[in-house]
Amino acid sequence: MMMGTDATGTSPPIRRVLVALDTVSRRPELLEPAVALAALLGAELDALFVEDETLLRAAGLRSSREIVLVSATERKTSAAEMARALRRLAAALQAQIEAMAAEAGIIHRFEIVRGRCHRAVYEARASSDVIVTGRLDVAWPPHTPIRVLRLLLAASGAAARALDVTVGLAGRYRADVELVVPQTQEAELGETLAALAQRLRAQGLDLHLRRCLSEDCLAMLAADPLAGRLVILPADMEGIGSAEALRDWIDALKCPLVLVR
Amino acid sequence: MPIEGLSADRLYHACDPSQLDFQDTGELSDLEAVLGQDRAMEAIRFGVGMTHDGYNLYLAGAQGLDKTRALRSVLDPIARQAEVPPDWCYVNNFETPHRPRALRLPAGRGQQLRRDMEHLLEDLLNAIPAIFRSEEYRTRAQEISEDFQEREERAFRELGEEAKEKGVALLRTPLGYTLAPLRDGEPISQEDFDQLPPDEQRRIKRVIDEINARLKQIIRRIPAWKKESARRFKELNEEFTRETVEQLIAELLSTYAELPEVIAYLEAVRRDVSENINDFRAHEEEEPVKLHELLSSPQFRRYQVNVVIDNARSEGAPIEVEANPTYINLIGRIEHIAQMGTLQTDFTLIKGGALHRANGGYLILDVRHLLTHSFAYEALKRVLRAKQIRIESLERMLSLVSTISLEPEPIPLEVKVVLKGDRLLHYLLQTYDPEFGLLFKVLADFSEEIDRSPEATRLYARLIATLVRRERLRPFERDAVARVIEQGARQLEDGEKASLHMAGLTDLLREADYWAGQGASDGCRLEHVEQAIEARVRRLDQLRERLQEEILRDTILIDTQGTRIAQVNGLSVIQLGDFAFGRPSRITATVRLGEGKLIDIERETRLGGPIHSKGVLILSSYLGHRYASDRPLSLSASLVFEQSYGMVEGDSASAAELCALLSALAELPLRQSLAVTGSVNQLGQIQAIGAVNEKVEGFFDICKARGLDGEHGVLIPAANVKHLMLREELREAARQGLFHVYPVSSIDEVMALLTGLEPGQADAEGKYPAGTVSARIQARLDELNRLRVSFARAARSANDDDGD
Repeated sequence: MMMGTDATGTSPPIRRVLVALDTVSRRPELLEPAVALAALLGAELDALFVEDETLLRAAGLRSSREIVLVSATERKTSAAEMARALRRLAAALQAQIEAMAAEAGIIHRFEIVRGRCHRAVYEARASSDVIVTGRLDVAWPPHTPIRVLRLLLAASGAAARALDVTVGLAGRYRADVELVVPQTQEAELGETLAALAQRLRAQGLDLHLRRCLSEDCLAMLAADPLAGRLVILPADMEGIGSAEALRDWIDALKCPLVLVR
Repeated sequence: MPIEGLSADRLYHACDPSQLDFQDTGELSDLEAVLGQDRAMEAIRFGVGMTHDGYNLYLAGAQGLDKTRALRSVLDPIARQAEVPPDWCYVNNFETPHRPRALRLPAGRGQQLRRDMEHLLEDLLNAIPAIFRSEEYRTRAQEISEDFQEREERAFRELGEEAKEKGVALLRTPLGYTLAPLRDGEPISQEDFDQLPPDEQRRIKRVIDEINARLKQIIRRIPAWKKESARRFKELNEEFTRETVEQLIAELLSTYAELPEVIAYLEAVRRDVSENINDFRAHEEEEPVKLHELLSSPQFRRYQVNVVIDNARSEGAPIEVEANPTYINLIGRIEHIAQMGTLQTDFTLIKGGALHRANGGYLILDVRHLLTHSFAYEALKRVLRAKQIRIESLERMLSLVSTISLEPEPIPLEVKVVLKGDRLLHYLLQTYDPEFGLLFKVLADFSEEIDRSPEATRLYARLIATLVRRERLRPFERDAVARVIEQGARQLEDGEKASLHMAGLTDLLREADYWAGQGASDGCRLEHVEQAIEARVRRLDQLRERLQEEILRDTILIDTQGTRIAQVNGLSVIQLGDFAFGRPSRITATVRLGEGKLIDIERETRLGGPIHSKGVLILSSYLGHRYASDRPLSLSASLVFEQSYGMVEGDSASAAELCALLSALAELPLRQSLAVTGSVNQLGQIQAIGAVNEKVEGFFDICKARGLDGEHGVLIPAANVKHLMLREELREAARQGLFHVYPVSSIDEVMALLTGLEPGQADAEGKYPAGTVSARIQARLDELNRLRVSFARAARSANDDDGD
């Protein structure tokens, strides 16, 4: 399904969806909506695996140890061994993405870079229409679909596309939409809100409006529940003006995050 | 007293149409009773009525006697009145799945249970996902998820924050976690670490060790948290689904309340559904649910009901006829399906056999078919002994394969087995299988003939009328019926009997009807029956014609005129399936001085069967008894069937052989216009033989072809006169005095006819009147004795000279 317009006019088509992954954000909870979005929007999927340089540096310490999650055992590690483990992880992810893309019938690419994930995402804002990333320290329980979409709708150039993405994902997951709107912009966004409500109603879905002060937006978006939540942000919004600011948002939300340009 | 030829009316036991008081069979009512099988019918009624173990039946008799119809005439009404046997189903055994449970239900309830279980599954597949989709469930499930997730997340977060405060980073690796010292919020390298003061380095190491230990504790607690979470989910699932599952199954429990086995099964289903509720939940996202596919999917097949025996439409007890009684067709089988290169099976692939279908009723089997299929007979006996059907895979029984298989619960068996077959097999089984007599105690021995009394003839006519109607043939006129009865007698080789061979009789009726149709006749008349008989002979008698032709062309040497010493026309019969015909054979004998040895050339060349050899040995015994009881039998003789290149069996030519021998001995010429058939005993009496009609007609055909002159005829045992059913052409020749059939009782009568001399009776001193056959024989034997004595003396004096 191609989604190119909103109630206020036209928005440029979404051609590229980027999913950014590292050891922390390698969850199926991220891959699944990224593939679904690319398929919904008729876009190509770029998968970016970031080999975390801090991890390699930490593994390079002589006294470095790794605590294995499944066995709670401790073992010595090294930078070389960590690099090999990251490559194995990347290969597994690539195979997984290839299978998912083939099933969804979408074109995809897979790329490996070394650095920090939040920086790579920040840099990719310029070239990708939509970026899916996130930090999920703990996996969602089984059988947990995306049930709540939280959209921060601020007056920005990306608002129209963010609405398209929201409506598409809401239809795909039959999820309710919680719209977080800065109080100061509510009047300005009145027409857009009405159009969104109408499009969701047409699909039998509800829209819940939550007003916030600018400084409370992040807390409201990060509020419970932990599982089944996906947050959609305009990529050009205030507050994520640097890579570090973006990292803070990712760390705080602890859920799949969709940045729309 | 010279022997007279039989009058033409004695050559054929005609069926007098005046005994039949109807114009055609349309006037006759059906014959309900089974004709002429009183003994067998009594046995059947007895066997069917006996409910004790082992009183299974064996119907003995040739094929074509309509044994099955006779059996059904008794069985059908009894079976109709009997109680309909129960249905049998195989269901999953939830505790030991490789041993499926057998459920017994009243007739018709098996399919009902199958449908009920399908509906139950359908309801569960609809209701359970709906429960899991409900907001109430989701909210409660979310609480549990979040509790678990939050606990885990909080533990790592708090540890990470504490570590960060102490200058250490908690980092996620592909397999777990690692810790690294921090500077300005970033992990430092080894070089930077080395530049730290030693105290700081020690402090950091201490912190890392402490955090490491705490991290391990957290990780070790995760399985317990997960277990607790799973337990809470299970409790939640049970809480939400218990009511639904119980309510749905409760309806079935009340439906089958009077069937404790079914109740126990439904309880097991309830437990299994509760324990495997996630199987149903797995489909909650599928809308609409493809129920049909789900019902047959591997995880739900275990709730199916395999109705092995469905008696919903049965009326009374079943009567099962298994035409192909192989092991699996009798016992049932466990089928397999190929999945990913392996053979898989489950209880839904159990298929019942004939014994399952016959359970509670009767099973009819052809014993020859049963015995020719490997393991079938043994399996049948095993089942009857055990009184239960245990389906065992033949491949497993023989250890040929080791695929996954099942051991279905045996099904109790109550069946009356009826075997059909010939007498020989019955006697062989009785002799060689000790179990046979214990399991098949009732022999119903079918007769192949009845006496042609006037009453029986009338009943037989009704039987023909019944068959005509059953086969939807044209009505048979009275003359045609009479001819059919006569032909039956001919088939039996007994003019005083009527055939009970229903298959042969029905074939003749059908074929006569065909010819009636060809003649555009509304009914079957005498001519159509004649046509049917002639056409059948015509179809089969090519070989007979060829042999006759070779005789007429003198390739096979048979004299039919003049006289010859030591040469007799014997008669043999050739049997080709259903068709038999007679042919004359030249029998010759030679005699010389010897010590009483009679050489049967057929036996010496191993072309003579034991009965034939016995007949020849009787001849020497007869000679010794009659002519040499007080002196040595100083002869050697040889006997042979000339131009015979196959086996010779039977003793019906022994009279002819004796005639040849006596002729050779007495050098008496024998009439070649006559042929001889009959066996002879040691006392010279002529005994009955088989196929007398074919033998007489075989010689008649040759004589007729060469031209009858009133001299031709056949000597038959007087005991065979009652068997004569000779064809009209021969009877007509007899009427005109052109061909004769002489009934003979002794070898003296035979020799008298063949030589024209008196046989001669011994006086008080054992001397025979001069000029008689016996006098000449005795004279020749005396001469041979003298020769033998003189040879002996000469030999002794030669020996004495040598001794001197």
